[in-house]
Amino acid sequence: MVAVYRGAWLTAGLPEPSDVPPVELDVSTVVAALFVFAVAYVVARTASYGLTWLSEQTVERRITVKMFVPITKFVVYVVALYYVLGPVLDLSSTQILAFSGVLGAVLGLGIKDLFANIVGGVVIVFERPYRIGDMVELGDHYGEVTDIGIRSTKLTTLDDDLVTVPNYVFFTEPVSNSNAGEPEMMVVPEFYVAPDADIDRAVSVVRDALLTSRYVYLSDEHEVSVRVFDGRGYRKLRAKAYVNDVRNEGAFRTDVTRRVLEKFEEEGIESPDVAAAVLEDG
Amino acid sequence: MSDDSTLFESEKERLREALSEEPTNVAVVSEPFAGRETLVDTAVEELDTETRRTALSSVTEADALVADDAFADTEAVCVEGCEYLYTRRIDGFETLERFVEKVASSDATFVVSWNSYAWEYARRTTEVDAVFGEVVSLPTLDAETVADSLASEYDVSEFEDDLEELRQEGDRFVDRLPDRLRFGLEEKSDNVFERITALSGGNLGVARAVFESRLWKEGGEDDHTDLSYEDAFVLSVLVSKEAVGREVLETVVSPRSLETSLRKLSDAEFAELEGGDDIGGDRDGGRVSLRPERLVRAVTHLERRRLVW
Repeated sequence: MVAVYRGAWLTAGLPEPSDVPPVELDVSTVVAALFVFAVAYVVARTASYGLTWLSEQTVERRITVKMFVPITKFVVYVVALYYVLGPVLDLSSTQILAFSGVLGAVLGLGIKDLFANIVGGVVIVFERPYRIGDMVELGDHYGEVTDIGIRSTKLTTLDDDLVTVPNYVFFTEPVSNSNAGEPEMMVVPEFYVAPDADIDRAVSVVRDALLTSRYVYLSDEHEVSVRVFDGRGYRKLRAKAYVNDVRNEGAFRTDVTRRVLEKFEEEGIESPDVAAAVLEDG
Repeated sequence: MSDDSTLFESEKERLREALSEEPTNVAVVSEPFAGRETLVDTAVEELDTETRRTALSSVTEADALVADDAFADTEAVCVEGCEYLYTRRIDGFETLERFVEKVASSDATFVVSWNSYAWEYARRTTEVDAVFGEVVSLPTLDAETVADSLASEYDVSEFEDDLEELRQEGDRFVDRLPDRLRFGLEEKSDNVFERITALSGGNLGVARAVFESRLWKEGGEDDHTDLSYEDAFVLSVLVSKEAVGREVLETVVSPRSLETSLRKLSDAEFAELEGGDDIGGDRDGGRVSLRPERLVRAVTHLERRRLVW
């Protein structure tokens, strides 16, 4: 009778421990490996700093240049890992096979979340559901992607909070990207007016406020529109326009809203009676 | 005295063709100071009929022109300075929209001239280009043309060798390169006229200002300008109008204060009060104008911030 122990699949196909020659680890090898990782860290940081500086010189190419930040970091760390496993530790193919088996067991036992984050980071770098500089909604958080690391993605929210989101969130939750690598993005302010307000005039005011904003971006493919929705007890004006730089989203929204409300008040275009609208809307 | 009449021959030919036999409405578009009036002169000569010619220099004049039934009983109309037909504020397109309506409904032939930045903005906001069958854009000039034009207006004897070098070179490879690359190469040149051409973006009006201020001696135009977004927005309005009343700028930047921005634009040598007065001096009026010799640097800065497209 053959004894089958739990978790045998983890070691299936791996060499017997007695067949694996020991890895010769002395102080100099450890120091060399640490040195390689330290150099990799410095190179990754320097490249990241240089690319970020370059990207900030122009709005037009900011996101394109920043796209290379996580790719560069990934390449640098992979090269460092290869260098440590190869020339520094000088592992044979049997040792590498055994190492991968141990790694699999360790992952299965406890650090699978970390591994999921790392895989998520790799997928994000190559599949590019979002890039550094994009405005995204990740989990419950919305903001500008400021860094894509090996383990996590950093977002700066509109309230200037720095949020760190684990990379595996990309696998488990939908990701909404507002600009997909472009410097401009659509902004959709909404305004509510009373049912008897002069709707043509209200549309004209909103349209002009969008077109004349200091933050607007206009092109043949990026037009401005204002749609009217008739609700019970109110009318909603849903405006769409592009802001010239995703970082100006809040300022654009504020600029348009402030000038529209000022003009509505000046011309007697009334807001709906909120209580009545809620009652009528049921 | 300058003489631009020999420039832009192929553009003048296009203009003549557009106005002959079955005349169509024409818009002449160029960078600030590039010499749009030369083409309007050609149009007036070509129309060979009773032409009403108006050069707008302010928003008030533009309002008055459109309010007045100025185009009735006229076979041809030339309007320069169309950038004053709109103001960048709510209800600021009314004059332009009425003008477009009049052009569309009139039997007269219209030749209008526009600042290119104002034109790009206006055609994206009011589709002004729909009523102009032909749009003639002025090209950038090569270094030899700029040098010859400057030599005809100024004493360039101290740069005779540079002038001669350009004339002898004739058809140059660098002139076939895209403008941005060409100016990048010419900016590094030892030839004074090539550097002036680069600093002016091949724009003769700007080249004159660069020559007069001997700006080529300052070297490259690296942009270290410390302007806030608001300052840059005021600059973008100036670039599209070239010169504008202070009260118009105030309505555009409201509710923010204009004074700080004007001071910073003046310190950075982008803007000046017309007549050379101190920009902070007359707070109740006056016109603020763009300094032509700084146009390229201003546009480069605005492009980086996506304030001109």
